[in-house]
Amino acid sequence: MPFNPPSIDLTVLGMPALLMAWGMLVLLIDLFTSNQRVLATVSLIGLIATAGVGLLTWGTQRTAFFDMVVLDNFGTVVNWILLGATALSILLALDYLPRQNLMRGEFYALLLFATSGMLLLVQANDLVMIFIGVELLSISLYVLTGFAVPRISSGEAAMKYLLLGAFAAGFLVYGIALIYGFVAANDAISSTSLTAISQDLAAKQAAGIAINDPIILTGLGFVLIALGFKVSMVPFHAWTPDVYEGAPTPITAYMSVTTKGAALVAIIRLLTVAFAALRPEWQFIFAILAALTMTYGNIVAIAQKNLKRMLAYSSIAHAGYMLMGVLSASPLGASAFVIYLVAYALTNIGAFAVLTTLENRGMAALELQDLRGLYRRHPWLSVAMVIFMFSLAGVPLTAGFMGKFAVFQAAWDADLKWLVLVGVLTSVISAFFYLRVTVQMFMEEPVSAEAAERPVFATAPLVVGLTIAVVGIIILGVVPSQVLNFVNNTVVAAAR
Amino acid sequence: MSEISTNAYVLVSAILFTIGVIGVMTRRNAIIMFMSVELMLNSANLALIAFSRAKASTDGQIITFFVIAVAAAEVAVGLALLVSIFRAKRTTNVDDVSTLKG
Repeated sequence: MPFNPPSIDLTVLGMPALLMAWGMLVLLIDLFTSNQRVLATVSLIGLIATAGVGLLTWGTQRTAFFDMVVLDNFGTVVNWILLGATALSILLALDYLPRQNLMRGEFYALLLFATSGMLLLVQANDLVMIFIGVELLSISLYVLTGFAVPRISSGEAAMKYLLLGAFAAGFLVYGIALIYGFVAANDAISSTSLTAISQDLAAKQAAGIAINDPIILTGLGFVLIALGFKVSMVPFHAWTPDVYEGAPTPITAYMSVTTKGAALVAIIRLLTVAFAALRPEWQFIFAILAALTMTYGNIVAIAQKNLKRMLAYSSIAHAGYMLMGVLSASPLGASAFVIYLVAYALTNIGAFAVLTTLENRGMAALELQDLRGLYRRHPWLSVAMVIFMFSLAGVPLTAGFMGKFAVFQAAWDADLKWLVLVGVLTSVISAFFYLRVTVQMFMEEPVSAEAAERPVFATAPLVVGLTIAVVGIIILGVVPSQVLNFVNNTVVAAAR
Repeated sequence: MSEISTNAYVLVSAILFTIGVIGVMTRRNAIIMFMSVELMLNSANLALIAFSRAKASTDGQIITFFVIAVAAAEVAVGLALLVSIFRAKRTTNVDDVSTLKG
């Protein structure tokens, strides 16, 4: 077998490569200064520079490294959303870390490494790249989850996340091995690239060989189990509430949005590029899992007293709604997913930002009743929280409504009308616990005189983050047409 | 000496993978759970190399290197976490470390 030296095409890999280099730079700067503001500023500049690379390569559509990585506008748009979510999380973390006595410089470097793993996952066009992307983001996140050690809940959350994450990685690798075993070797491009898989399946179909072979179905199932674990799809969600509760709040905000987004893009590419031929096999199962995810997340969230736990279950439910867009397996579904991701990123990070302002040092858990009378303590904060809760519930004139509308439309077009019905019903259920938060803030008296006096840490970076989130939600909710057109045009053009 | 067929290798790897899965699900000591995860990853490596030989394609062997490197990174983080938890709690049993519930 002749050895073909790989063609190095850094344009395609520009965004993840630059961000990873920048993460190393932050790590280096950490040697010389312990000023958190400097590190955070450098990280923010890195995120903006990476987004700029996306702007420079805009419109390019090609694959590189033996078809292992792909650059297209769809991936770039999702990358921008992930970078924005990371930037918002840094704003959340800036004053939270010193307050909680978590002043360690690796924080921002790890955050950038995790994000570069996500960008790689979004641009992955090969099972191996999916594996590397998933592991890069996961291993960084294991450490970030355990960042509040010696607080035992943080260490415990990290341990649970790591054990179950490694378990899922085992499934991912074995699934890759099985798929590799089934498809024929490809000399021109990587045998495990999504393009090679789709070519091989098409060739087998043309030759009359059955492609719904148990080996490839098991392999696909295993890979989807591992990605579903990252998305926290029911029944692979068990880690989510514990990890989200134990992790430092800015990290919870960060991973509840970005991990889901990146893993869902990998699922979209896997299902629509590589396994489009097996659509009858996966679509129905996925629809049932999406319905279960929405129902389970929303119903269990009702019973939660702890705010972070409640938002964790709500994030499981939102993963279900995003899955609706994914499993529609159409350009409309992909653009609906992107719109939902924007709305969800702004809303969920905003909601966690409010929790960040209320968390005192050494306070492990924030209970629902701690919100009582927040309106008197900090009116603007409670108004922002109301907007976030309305957007999470999908009330019209908020971004959340546009997101839900888009995914419902995509699922309806894909002839999954019963799934739309489940989605609407569970949204109604979810309004109950989101509105309960509002009632607590405006209509209840504080539990004690001491609780009424607790400080609110609405510092400048947090106010900036909250403002961005609120303005984004309102713009997307009230005048969505510009954003909708932009996303539709880019994603549909990419699919053509 | 007759050659061992690819099927035999894949069968062994499937058995090892199942042992790993059962290990993670039934054992409660975090270190044993890590070992079981390693078994799962290495069973996949075995399958990859068997397939790689059967097809005379080197892709599978290269994937194996990636898997080994990532597994090492994962274990490094895992053991570090375990040490920090052990310092606080004096146990490696995952059932003894469960403050998060609801």
